Amino acid sequence: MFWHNFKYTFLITLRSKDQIFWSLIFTVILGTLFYSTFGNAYEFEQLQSNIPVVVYLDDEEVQKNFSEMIEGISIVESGEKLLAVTYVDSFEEGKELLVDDTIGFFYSEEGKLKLMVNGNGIQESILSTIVANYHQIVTIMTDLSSKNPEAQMAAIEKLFSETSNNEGISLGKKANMDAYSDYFFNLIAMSCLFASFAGVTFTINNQANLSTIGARKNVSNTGGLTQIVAGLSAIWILLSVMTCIAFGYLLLIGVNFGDEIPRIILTIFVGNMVGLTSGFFIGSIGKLSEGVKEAIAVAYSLISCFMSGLMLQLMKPMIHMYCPIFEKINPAARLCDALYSLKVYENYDRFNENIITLLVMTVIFTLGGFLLGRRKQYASI
Amino acid sequence: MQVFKTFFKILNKQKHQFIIYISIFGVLLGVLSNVGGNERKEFQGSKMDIVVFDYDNSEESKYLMEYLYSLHNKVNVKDDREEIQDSLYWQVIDYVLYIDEGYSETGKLSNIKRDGTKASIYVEEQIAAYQKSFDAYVAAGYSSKEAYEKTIAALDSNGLVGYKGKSSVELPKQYYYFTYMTYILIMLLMNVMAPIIMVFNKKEIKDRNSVAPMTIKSRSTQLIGATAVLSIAVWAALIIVAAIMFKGQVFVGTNALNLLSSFVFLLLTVGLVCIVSSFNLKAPTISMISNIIALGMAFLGGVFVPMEIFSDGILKIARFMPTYWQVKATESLYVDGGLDTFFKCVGIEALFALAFMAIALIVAKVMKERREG
Repeated sequence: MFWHNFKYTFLITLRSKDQIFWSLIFTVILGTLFYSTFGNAYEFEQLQSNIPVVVYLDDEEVQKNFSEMIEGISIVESGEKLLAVTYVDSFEEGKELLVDDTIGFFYSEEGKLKLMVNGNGIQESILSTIVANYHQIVTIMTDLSSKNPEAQMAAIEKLFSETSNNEGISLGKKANMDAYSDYFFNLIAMSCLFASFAGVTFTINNQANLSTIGARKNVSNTGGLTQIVAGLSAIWILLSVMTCIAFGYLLLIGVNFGDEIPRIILTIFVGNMVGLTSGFFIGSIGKLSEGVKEAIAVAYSLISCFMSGLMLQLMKPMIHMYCPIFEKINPAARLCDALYSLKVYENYDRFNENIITLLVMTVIFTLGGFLLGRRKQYASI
Repeated sequence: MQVFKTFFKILNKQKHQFIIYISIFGVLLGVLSNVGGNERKEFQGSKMDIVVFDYDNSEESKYLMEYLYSLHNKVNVKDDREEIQDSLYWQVIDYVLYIDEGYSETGKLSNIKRDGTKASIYVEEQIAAYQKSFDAYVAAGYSSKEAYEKTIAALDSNGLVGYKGKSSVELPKQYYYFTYMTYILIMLLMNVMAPIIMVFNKKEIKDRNSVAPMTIKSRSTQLIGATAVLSIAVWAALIIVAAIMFKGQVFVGTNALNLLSSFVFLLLTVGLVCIVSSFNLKAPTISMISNIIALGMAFLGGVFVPMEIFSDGILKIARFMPTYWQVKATESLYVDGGLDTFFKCVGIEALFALAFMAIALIVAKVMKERREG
């Protein structure tokens, strides 16, 4: 009877539009939306070349020094110029042009190079370092004028030295800093945890006091354990495959999950197991109506994903810092962390820890569900 | 008043779900608006989050550390590669500087950063400028202490950088509350109100009601009245939460305009709910639709992620999202923009509301004809 139950639960779930929607279509739609909205957002963090600036310098010396200075500023990686300069004929014109995409307006006043900006973002701050560097050179040269020529030469050599003593350390060849990947990890986690809805529906369909199908099943000659194990296995395999298809779609459109595909698929299967068994557990709680149990499942999966950073990426580090225990027991956070560790770390210690935690959660939910739902008597329905 | 009363009787039957939904979304809104502010790195100005590990412990290394911490925020992170990787990835820190042993002699430093980012280049530029100045003064014969003092003076660009208009200000928590409220309103009203309206739209109930001794006008008026009461109650509850959270500041000065924009957004959400509930849908389907609409609008409208990261194409699509105009309206109250921009944005939201109401009426008419035909 195991395979009979397995086959028919599989078919029922396959034909249920709701479950297919949550595991597959929802993930595909939201994934497309995420990818089109901030798929390349990490590039936004990178320093762009040709920052538009306006320049009006009526002091000849400042103009000469400034032109020499900006000629030498280019982005190391691409070799492109940092600034896209537009020269204007008057201070008023420059000020007027400092709108929309123009980041700064360089001008001279009392022999000093000055900068006018519209905000205090990073681009404006980078422009301010140009003014600071100019001011620094002028100040140092003035200070050195009282020193002997040898000391002046030694100081000037240091001041215009091109060598850098600040060396970058690599965190490993897989190290990745694209925090926006977390949104996609969370999406996969959400798809897995939405299996809880299927768990709730399945459990309700096994309870004689909550559904007519449940009443029919309870008078059949197949044992409860066989029915539940067969049914949950069928739903688990089907929904995991659906999430895998959604994952395949995300890979196709260009989302970078790293190259550990077999382990990611393992994570999806384990994630769906946690989602499904948590739904089984929620469905087994007392005599609450279907609507209330579904609302609890929605609350559980949404809060879990929210705390893991689905809506606000900052949530995950906040929880990590201020409530690490919750992060350890939050299934969405464990799933995300498993996917993150696969993408970033070269060893599997952290990944294995996450998978073991998720399996322990599955055992707890399953045992809890069985304990709450076993040996129920229905004297009157 | 039978229809009106029945509406609330149905709500009473679903009170457990209603309480669960309003509690989850209330908590989400509170947490989101309290932590949301840190997401917008672009508006934080020039202060980065950095960590300096001093393994030289010399006078020179202390000067460098003091200088960097005077410019940026100090973050406490252990010198552990895994923790540093996580913190850089989560954007908790922007730059990690190691002052290597023997720095006072060799000047050797090392760093871990997000390669090529504006933040890391900015900090690196400042370190390079400091090093050059300090070394130049020392080479010219100044003592370490004098060199440090002169370097600080040379690098001080105070008075050299100014703002054109008013300086950009950090967006207050209220901004986040009233933008995130758009997501919460859509989710709440879709999950709570749509199932009730749909009961009245069920074929059997509609047929039964149509032969009742009550005019269509009276029935519709009561249904609209009940919808209005429930939606205003939800909105008022969220405003009361805001009033408590922000100690009454929501009613003061320009902040009070948030009440207007959120109310107009409420109207367009009700319009959306009316469209969805015109179709004969099941409760789980409503949950799916509400998730897609709410999350879609929140991400595309710039509620959950800053619009600065959008490409031009996405920005054009975003303009068709009512949430985009709510974000713009709220933003105009706190950064450059002014009341003209605010009223323009709220006006566009009102047009969305009208359009949604009109679509809801058309859909209802088509569904009625289909049922009768």
